[in-house]
This record gives sequence, C-alpha cells and structure tokens, in this order.
Amino acid sequence: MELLTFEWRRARSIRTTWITSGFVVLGALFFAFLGTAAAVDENGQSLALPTTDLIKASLVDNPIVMVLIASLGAMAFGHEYRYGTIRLTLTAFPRRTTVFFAKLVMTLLIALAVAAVATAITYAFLLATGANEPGGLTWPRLVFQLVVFAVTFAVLAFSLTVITRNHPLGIIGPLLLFLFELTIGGLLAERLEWLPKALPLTAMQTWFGGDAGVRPIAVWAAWMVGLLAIGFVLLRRRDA
Amino acid sequence: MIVTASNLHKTYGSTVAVDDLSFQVVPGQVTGFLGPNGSGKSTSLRLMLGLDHGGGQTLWDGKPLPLHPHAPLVVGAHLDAKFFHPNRTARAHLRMMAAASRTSATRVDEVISLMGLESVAKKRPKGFSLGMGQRLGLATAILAEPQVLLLDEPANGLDPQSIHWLRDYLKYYASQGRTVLVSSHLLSEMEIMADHVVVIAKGRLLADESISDFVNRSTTNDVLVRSPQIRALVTALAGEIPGVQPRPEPPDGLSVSGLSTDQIGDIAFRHGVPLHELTKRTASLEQAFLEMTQAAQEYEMGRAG
Repeated sequence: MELLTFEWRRARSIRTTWITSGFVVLGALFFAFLGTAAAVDENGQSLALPTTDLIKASLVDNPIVMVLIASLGAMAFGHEYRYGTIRLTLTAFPRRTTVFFAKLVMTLLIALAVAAVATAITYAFLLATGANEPGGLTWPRLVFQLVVFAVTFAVLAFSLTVITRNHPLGIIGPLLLFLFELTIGGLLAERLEWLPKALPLTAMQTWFGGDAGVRPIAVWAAWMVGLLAIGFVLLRRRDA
Repeated sequence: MIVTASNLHKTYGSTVAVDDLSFQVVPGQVTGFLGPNGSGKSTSLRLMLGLDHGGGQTLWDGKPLPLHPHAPLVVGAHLDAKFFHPNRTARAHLRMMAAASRTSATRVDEVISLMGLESVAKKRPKGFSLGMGQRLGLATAILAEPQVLLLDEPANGLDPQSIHWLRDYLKYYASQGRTVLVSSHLLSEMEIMADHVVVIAKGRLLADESISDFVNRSTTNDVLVRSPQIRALVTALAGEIPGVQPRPEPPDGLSVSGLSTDQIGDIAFRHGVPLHELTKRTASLEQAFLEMTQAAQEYEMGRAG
C-alpha cells in the first residue's frame, strides 16, 4: 500500500502529469470540434451527429491523444531513470517485482482516469453542440475500446521505457510503431500478408472491428504481455 | 543494527571494481569508508543496497534488505546530490519519500527545518546549488530515522558551517545507537568525524579498524628531538639501540622512528646530552591513508610487472 501511495505522490507531484492530462482533454475536444464543424450538409446546415462515433474519433483514432497517453505511460520509469531517482525508489522498496507491478497499476489507473475524464468532457461538449444522435457504436463497445486503447498505449510506453531506460524513446516508440503499422499495411500487405496481422495496433483495430475471432486478441495480448515480461526481466537483472 | 557485507564482488567487463570485499559496520559509531577515486566505494555502497548486481551479500541485522518489511526504517541512503526530479519541489520530494515509510507530514517539516531548507522547501530543485542538493539528499536519508545511514560523499559542496553541522549530527545520530557509514575523500573531516575506518583500494580491503589503530600503524609516527649536541645524541642512540636510524631534521633536530619519547629521554640523560625539544609526532589520517594506498598501488603495479 505504501508503494501505491508513493507512486501516486510521485505522479501527482510533478506538473507534467497534470499538463499532459490536460492536453489529452484538449486534444480530444479539438478533434471533437473539428468533427462537428466539418459535419454540414450541402446547404451548410449542421448535421445531426452520432456522439459515440465522434468520441471514438476524438480519442481512440486521435494520434495526439495516442502520444499523450504514451507520455503518461512513459513517466513511471522515464523520470526515474532520467533523474536517478530510481535508486531512491529501489532503496526504499528493494523488491523490484513489487515496484514494477505497483508502477504498472498506477500507470494504468492514471491512463484510464484521464481517458474517462476526457470522454466525459468530450461528451458534454458534443451534447452542448447538439450532437446527441445514437451512433453505430454502442456505449459499452465505446467504453471497451477506450479501455483497450488507453491500456495499449500506456503499456507500450511503460514497457519501452523500462526496456530502453530512455524516456523520450518510451513516448516516441508507440508513435513510431503506429506509423510503421500504417505504412507497412499499405506497402507489404500483399506480399507479406501475415505481417500486419502480427502487429499489435493492427490487431487492436481488427479486434475493435469485431468478427475476427480470437486471433487479434491473442496477438494484442502477446505483444502486451511480451513487452511487459521483457521489461520486468530487465528491471530485475540490470543495475539500477 | 549491524551491517555485514560479505564477499562483495563486481566487474565491469574485464575490470574488477570490487574484489571480494568483506567488512562489518557496527552501531554506536561513525564508520568512515575511505579509498582513492575509482577504488570502488560507490559501487560497494550500491552493491550493499542491492542497486547493483554482483557477487556477495549484505545482511542488515542478519537479513537481506528485501526481507525487512519496511526498508526505509532500516536504511536511509544518500548516494548523489542530484537524485531528484528537477520540477518536483523539495517539500513534495520529501512528502513522496515519506509515503514509503508512512512518515508524517510533521516529520517532513521537522527535517526541512533541521536541514535549513525552509527557504527553498517550495522551490524546484533544478536551480539548487550542490550544497543545497546535498542537504535535500541528507534530508531524504534521515527522513524515516532509519537504523542505518549510508552516505556517499555527503560533505561535497557544503560550506564550512554545514560540514561542521553534518559532523556533529552524524556523531549524535551514531550516539543514539544507530549505524552510520560515510564515504568521503575529505580526510581531515573524517579524522574528526569517524571512530572507525574501512579503507579500500582497487576494490580490495586494506584496513578495517579504529582510526587510532589505523593512524598508529603509519611509519610516519616519530619523535622529534632537538639538541645542541646532535652528533653525540646520534652516537648514543646507535650505541644503545642497534638498528635505529635517526633522520636529520635541520637545523638541529632528529626524527626518530620506533622509539618512545621516554626511551629517547632516558638515553640522552644517561649520555649527558642536553635536549631542547622532545615531541611525539603522530601521523594524520591523511598521511596514514596516503602511505597505505600508495603501498597497495605499488604492490599492484609490482604484481602487474
């Protein structure tokens, strides 16, 4: 319990956490605003907009939010390695397994809380602009997608930071992966059909699309667990 | 709490940083951890805390540190004056560390006051001087009032008043029955502060004894004798103690090693040699340290050659 309190104080006592969280909300609102502003008919009249689809576009499909969630995920170990405080942490809590999982839990809680707040504010904004039509996406599916999205980018950044012990790489890594998958899908999909299917973000999107069986879930889970396992082993084995 | 480091070993590639190092740190006294730059002091401290992986083990009251339910109550460590987030205020940093040991906010304020950090408690440490960083690091180490303090060069960058305060505080801390291990290259400070020394060079143990025993072993301990009849005194000493080799100390003195002031005075009296001065000169910790580490270095070079 002390470790979770410690982690919470660590996260909340630096402005970066709050600024990044604030920008997640602003980034989502900005995309929601663009969505509502662009949705007009040929006479220039505003169209009735589906809220859940717009929220998904503002958060789950928004590369800005993606990077910011990754930034929250990278902070857990990134700041510790960057400023040497990992040695204070591991002196106070010598059991590295506990430290790893406490940081992971706190990172996921923060990422999910920020995603929840951003969703609530974006929804309120959309209601205020008259976008209250039911979308093609049900609320439970939207919530599920938001959770998976936040967990994915938080875990990717968290793991990459532990593995590389490099804070910027932990943030930029998931974005590079996203861009890689975006391009690889178009360039190599015909020649190497299996490759895009074996990548985590494509698997996540396929999973979101439904009707693809358990394979995308397994691919996604394998990436998440695999990266976390590598990070965990390296944290335990390497000098602090 | 007794801290027992056994067979600590660490290599970086082909370089041996710590080589089968064993020593014990006991409560109630300040133990100085001495060694030349690159001798493996900091690596040894990190090995003791489990921050670096290597051979050997360190027992804290008979148990490895991870087996103690609350490590912050066992050991408080200060390894570097820059180990804090530059944008987390000093007070927030201490509050965060306090969560690790369920230390109260009152104690945080108490430590801030004790370390003279009141004026910067709400400031971000990115602009802190080295001395201020040291104070914050020390505040972190003593926050939970641990049984053991492990400090790596804590006096670096401190002004003379702060060094004086640190010396008194560590002595007081040890006098409460707690264990204090301080690494430092400020030997004059160590001489005043420490009761016991662990000396290492090239990762190996050279000495683990009380400061007085360590200093007394130095060959630079001697007796200064001044006399108007210096030749007669040399003859008298050589006549009574075969093998004694007094060294001249101009203009009218002799440096005599291996004899006490009483012995020299008696010999001079028996031979009717008047003495103008008879002073026992004790080596400083610095002299003893340099002599020992130099000897170790020569031994290593000899082995390599």
